[in-house]
Amino acid sequence: MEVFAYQGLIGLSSAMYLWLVSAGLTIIFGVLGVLNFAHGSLFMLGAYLGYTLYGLVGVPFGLAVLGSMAVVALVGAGVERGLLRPLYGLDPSYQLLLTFGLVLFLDDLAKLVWGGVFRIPPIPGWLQGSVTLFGRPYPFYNLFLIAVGLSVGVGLWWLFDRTWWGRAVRATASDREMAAALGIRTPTVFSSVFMLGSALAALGGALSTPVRPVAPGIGAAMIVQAFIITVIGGLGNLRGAFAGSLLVGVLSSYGTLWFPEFELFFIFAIMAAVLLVRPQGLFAR
Amino acid sequence: MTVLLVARGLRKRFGDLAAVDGLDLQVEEGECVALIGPNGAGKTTALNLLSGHLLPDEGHITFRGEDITRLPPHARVHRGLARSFQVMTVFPELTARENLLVPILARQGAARDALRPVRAYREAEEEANSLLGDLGLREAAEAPAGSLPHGDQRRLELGIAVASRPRLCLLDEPSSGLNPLERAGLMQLVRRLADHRGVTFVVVEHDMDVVFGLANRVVVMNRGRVLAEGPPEDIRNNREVRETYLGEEEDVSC
Amino acid sequence: MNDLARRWAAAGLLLALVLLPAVASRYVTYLVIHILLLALNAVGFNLLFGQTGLLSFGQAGFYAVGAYTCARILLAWPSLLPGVLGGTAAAAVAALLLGSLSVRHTRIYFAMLTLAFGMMIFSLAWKWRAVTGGDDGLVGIPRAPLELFGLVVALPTVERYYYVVLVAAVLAVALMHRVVHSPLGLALRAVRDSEVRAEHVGLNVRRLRLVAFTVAGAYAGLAGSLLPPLENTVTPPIAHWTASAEPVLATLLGGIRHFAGPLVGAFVLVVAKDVIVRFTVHWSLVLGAVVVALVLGFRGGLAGALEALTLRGSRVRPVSAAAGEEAR
Repeated sequence: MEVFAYQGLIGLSSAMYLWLVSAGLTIIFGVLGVLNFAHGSLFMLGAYLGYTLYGLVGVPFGLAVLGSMAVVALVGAGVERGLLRPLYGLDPSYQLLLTFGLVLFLDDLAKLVWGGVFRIPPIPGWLQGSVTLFGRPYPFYNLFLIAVGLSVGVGLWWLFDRTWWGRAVRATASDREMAAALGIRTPTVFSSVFMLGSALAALGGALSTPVRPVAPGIGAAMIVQAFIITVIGGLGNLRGAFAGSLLVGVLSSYGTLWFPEFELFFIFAIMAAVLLVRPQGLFAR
Repeated sequence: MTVLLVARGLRKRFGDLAAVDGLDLQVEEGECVALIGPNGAGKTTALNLLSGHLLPDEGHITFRGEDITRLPPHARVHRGLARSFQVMTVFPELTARENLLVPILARQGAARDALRPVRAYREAEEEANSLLGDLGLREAAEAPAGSLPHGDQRRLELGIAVASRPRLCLLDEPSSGLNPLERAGLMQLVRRLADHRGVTFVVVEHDMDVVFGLANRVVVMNRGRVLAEGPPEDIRNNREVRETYLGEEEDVSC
Repeated sequence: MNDLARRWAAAGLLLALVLLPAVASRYVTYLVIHILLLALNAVGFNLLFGQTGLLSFGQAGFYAVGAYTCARILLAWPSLLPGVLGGTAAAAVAALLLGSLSVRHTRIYFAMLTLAFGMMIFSLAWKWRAVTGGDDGLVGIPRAPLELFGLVVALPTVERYYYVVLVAAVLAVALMHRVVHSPLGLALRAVRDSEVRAEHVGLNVRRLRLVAFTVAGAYAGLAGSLLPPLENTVTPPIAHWTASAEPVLATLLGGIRHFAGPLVGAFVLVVAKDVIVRFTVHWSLVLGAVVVALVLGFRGGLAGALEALTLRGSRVRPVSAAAGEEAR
């Protein structure tokens, strides 16, 4: 029983990376109608930048995370403005192909610039240590991750529900032409949304630096899981993305415990089951 | 007269809005029914429910005695219920002739044939050519449908609907975007198709000329349900109908 | 190119292919085999994309199913035909199963699902040591002899195996040509042009998409089955999504709207890769950049067929409406 609960808590903290990436993916899709295949690559970039700043250069962890988020947000702005904008209004195949090409490009670029796998730098001092839960030491860093994830959730809710920007975004998402007619600068909305989504992915990546290896394949793994979460949670649905992230994170954790060889396949099987039983997603309205 | 279609108590909600709210409709064979009403009355939603594009929240639809309420659109077509669309939905990259071949071959169950060339289906080609002639599109036969002028595409759209040889054909604003001359021509076409091919039509229209010239029964919708119905003359003189249309007067010609 | 010219070109090409091993080096023959395999994969992909309008990023998954199944058959029963047929059949079944879960969805969702399922197969190939050999893959796969009607043809050389691949490829491509020009092909193009209209002229859109998906998977599986006897090994990277990019790019390069497009593209891609890989290991970088450039460059109208995609794309609809329609 205690093993069960503890493993669930481990899954909960690892779900936070999934949540950050899925949130960004969902927001971008919900507003721009673009399924950003390259979102996992943004996570990867965030991790590489975080590692470079914190692990190599020695910048304090918090600043490294923020710096990584800022750079990736700018990359996102560039992608949206330069590459995706010409494709709005066209057949969705264009944007799918473009973001797919972007993944190939970015993942290999990372290999070119940074090389292979890296050492894991130490956890920053103020986040070290552990708490005893269910009879085992539970890393304080994991609690930190959960706190960040929940804060992001609350922050996003506040942003979309309470701020002028959030309202402008929701208006643009539901009726682009009407929003433009009302004076909302839709291009700016799009750019800012894409930047927000990118920054979230980078946050996830940067936060993973002290505890997980930074390697070229982590982006691909992340986007596949984000897609699974999207199937389970429903496309364009933030609440669903959160619930789906928790589900996949926790179940993956149990999967590693019970079927170590087939952990990933176990999650895919769940995705297939959802597709069979409730194709629109468990949490779709 | 045989009753072809019966719709009872249809309701369809989008969020808080009840686009169709208790619609009852009956169509007999050989009729030409015009479905009119102000914007937002639910006419297109009604057609979508009848054709299977949307499923109702409540109510049921019977066609030739069979309950088709939850049948997918392609199954309804095979039972003799077809429709045309208001927003352009010809097959843009297929030629005009191919646009007609698709419903014809589908009707014959030939769409599963993966081995014989389309050219081998001579009868289907002849039928398509004949229909092109009726539509006045013979010269455009080889042109990609998306490149045709708007008026021709509207005629082709009508042709696609009729090519399925339906018993009942739903037309959603078939003359939208056409100039008066084109409109008149299209309506003659509908009349000809109704007479020669024995098709019953339900036409959603805004243009009153068309309505009064074509229909032998008019159904007026408002707020998702039927407001009034009857012969065109009665409807023209109906006070409630006139009031509903205040502000929509630009389409009413005297 | 009119009909007669096209036939002469095809005949000429066929003749060149038949004579190839006699005039070219072993390496070139080997390379052309890879062109033929990619051509098969791409031609199947284009039935799905160019003809039916469905973009799939998971062809590599079915390629791998074909390859691994054939490999396992050959290791137990060294006869070429059962291996290739078994591999193709297995891929078709996999495509049927995964397709039935995917085709009911909008095209964006569908694309996402194909990527996810492709990676599922990859993770299976990577982890299921007992069957797939895990990350070591399967080795020692024999180039089994072709046994047909009592005749046994040994295939010790690459040149001999080339002819087997050539025959398979020509037959498969000819079959695809038939399909494309059949009523089924026309129905698929109608679905591509307007799913809603197709549904309302009596076409079962879901079923048609599933047929296209299954056939595409079968073609990828056929290509995959022809790989193990050539290379004698099968490893997981053939199932990775980066491998799925190859039939996609080959088709984009050669032209989506022309039947020969994927064939031309396969040739260009294999040759280009062969050259580029000598200078840099970063093939994906180049691949990705070319895809991005192609997509953006569509305006100019690359390779003839892409104009057609632009023609469709130029009917601008508000993306929110389209996304709403897509999200239905």
